[in-house]
Amino acid sequence: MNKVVVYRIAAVLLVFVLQVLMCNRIALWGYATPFLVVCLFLKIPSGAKLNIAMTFAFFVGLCIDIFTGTLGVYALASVTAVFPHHYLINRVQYREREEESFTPSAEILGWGGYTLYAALITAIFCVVLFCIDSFSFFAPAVLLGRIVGSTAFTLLIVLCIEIVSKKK
Amino acid sequence: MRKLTRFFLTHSSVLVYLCYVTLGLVLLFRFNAYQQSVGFTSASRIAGSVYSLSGAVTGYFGLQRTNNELLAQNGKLQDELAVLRDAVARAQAVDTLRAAATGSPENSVIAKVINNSVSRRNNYITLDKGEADGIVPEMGLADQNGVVGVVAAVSPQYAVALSLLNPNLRISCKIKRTGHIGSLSWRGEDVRYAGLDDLAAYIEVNAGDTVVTSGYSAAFPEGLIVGFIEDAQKVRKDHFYSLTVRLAADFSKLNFVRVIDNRKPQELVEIEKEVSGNE
Repeated sequence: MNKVVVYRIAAVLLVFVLQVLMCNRIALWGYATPFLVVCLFLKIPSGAKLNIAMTFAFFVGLCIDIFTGTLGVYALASVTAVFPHHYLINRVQYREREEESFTPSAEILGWGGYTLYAALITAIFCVVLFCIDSFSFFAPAVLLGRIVGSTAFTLLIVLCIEIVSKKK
Repeated sequence: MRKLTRFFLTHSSVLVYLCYVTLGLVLLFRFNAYQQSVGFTSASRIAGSVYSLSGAVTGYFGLQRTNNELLAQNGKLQDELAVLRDAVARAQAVDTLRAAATGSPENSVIAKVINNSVSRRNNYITLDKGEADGIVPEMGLADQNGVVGVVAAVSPQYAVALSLLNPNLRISCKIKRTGHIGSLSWRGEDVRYAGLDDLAAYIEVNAGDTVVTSGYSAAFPEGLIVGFIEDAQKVRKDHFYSLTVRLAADFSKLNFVRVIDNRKPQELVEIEKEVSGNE
């Protein structure tokens, strides 16, 4: 089996386990929860078929749902976050790389582009997830706080991982 | 078909996304009690609003039919009300007339006046009771105030009476205070007044004296109020005198009357006939 494929499967499993066993139990100041699973969606190659990417995201989200007892919540958030993936990459990438397939990273997209791309995907994921989870606008300030807090926290982790992986 | 296929292929990612969203929502509402509850409540509210709007629209178009139904129902209720009012009025009149007849020995039937004229020269009263109710000609009529007429003809269901406002009807009366006899008849002028004729010259009367039936006729028992002397001034008429009497009954307001059965015994009638025949 291709080494890259094994590496990616291992990464998916690791992220999945970390998300279920650790990240979901963190809530900084009651608002900020890190969603490590977003890293998997950010690293979907630009040349991958969007339908396959959405299927992947749906089943990853569904697996997390099964373990967290929120069937449908993560699945919907994951699919919605991946749906504009290709569009966002095309908006932030350099023009000369338009025809090539690549895995989005700060090195390729630049820190500004990558941060924007990661922020948007993370924000979409968090908005959908928290809106579905609360399913009402009873306490809009709390909802907004959780969305902003979790997006910022997740983005920070994503950028940290990007820095660490770049150094390696 | 080809265009449709091309459309689906071009927008396949949108379709796949919608499929996953649908699947996700199904899972969400199927397995999450909170979302299911909120969704059901919201759906009920939306459905309620839609049904309310739909009901308002269809209700507007159904107003014509509803209006017709209400009109028909209203008419029916008006009819029932009229019947009930008539029944109540009849019951009240019966009570009043029976109270007025307390102490009288005669039998009586309560009848409703269904036609009554006061403006003609010869006035008549039509009653809603007839032969089937025991009414026969020559029975007297009185309301709660006083004498109003005498039955002239009967059919099985109806009776027609000569009103006191008919010059052809003469009633034997007497002045209650003095006991003097006279004959009362309408003069064809004012509906409030009649004339008491055939009075002897020597009698003295006062204005306001009560005139009552004498009891000599078959129509009325003795003592039924007919009216009151209006003017104590007697008017000479042939060898007798005449007085103006204000009638007790208000003929313009006749509603229910008491038909009085004061018929003489057959034996008495036969003797009177025999005496009349010998003359």
